[in-house]
Amino acid sequence: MITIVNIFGAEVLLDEVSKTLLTAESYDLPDDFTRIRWANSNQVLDAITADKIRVWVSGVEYTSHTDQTSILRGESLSPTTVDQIPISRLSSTKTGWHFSPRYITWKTASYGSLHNKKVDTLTDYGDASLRFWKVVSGAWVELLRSAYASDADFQTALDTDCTITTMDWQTTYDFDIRGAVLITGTRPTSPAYGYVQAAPDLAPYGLDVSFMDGGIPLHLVKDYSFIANDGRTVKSVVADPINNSNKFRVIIEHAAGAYIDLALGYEHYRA
Amino acid sequence: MTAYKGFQYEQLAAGSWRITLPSGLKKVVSATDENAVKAIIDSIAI
Repeated sequence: MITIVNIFGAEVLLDEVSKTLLTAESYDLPDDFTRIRWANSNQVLDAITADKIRVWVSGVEYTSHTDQTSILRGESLSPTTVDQIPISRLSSTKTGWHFSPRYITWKTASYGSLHNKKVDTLTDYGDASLRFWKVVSGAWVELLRSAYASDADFQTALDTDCTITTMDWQTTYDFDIRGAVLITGTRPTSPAYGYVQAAPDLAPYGLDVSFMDGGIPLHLVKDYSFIANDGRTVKSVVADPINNSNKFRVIIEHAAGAYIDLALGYEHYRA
Repeated sequence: MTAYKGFQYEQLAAGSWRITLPSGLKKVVSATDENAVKAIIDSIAI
């Protein structure tokens, strides 16, 4: 409720609400008012400047000329606490979007270790996958489950040959990403490094985008560490099912047989 | 900024171009001219 009092010393016409405000009269503006147009706007501005008008909103008086003018023009005031201290509320994302971190958990060189479930159904989200690689003459060669008779046989191969584990994440929705956190399990005893590559499918054309160049040294952090990488602002990422340029690949380079528990938390906003 | 097959590109300096991927991510590449940039995009056969 906005209440104004005319202490200007003369009648004032509020033509927005067809109200003539008498001298010293108090008036509660309608809740649905949009803007008060005064019959003589200069007169009103003069009155505000000369402290001839007092303005209340929900019983709280606003004394600054800027606030008074804004209120009578129907403009939004900066949000304040109950004692009128301004509240800083900068938005980090698009209107209607919300902060919605995603966590994906896996273990290097471990078949079937990916955990990426939806909150509501506790079923797999379906937008992340784990892949295993060995390096032959400097080239990555993927180790595929289909090449082995059983899960056990495949895991045996991973135990001896897998030195790179990758986790791909590609959403079907748009998002604004701010950063990510990496949670590690028991520290690997041999050197192991983590990298992130966006748009890995476009690497043959030189259009992949690198993050964590140099690699996070996983063998140099304590057991059960929490590594945060905060971009301090957001980057919009649009779903791209055609060229897969919104795919993010976490690459873990490790010793054969190194089973490193990892969880990545993508800090993003989405609709 | 020029749009081309879902990508966008702009020249930063002689031989240097910034390509915006369909996702919005950006990558600076070396290319002799605009035709070379288009050739990179054309070569993507996904």
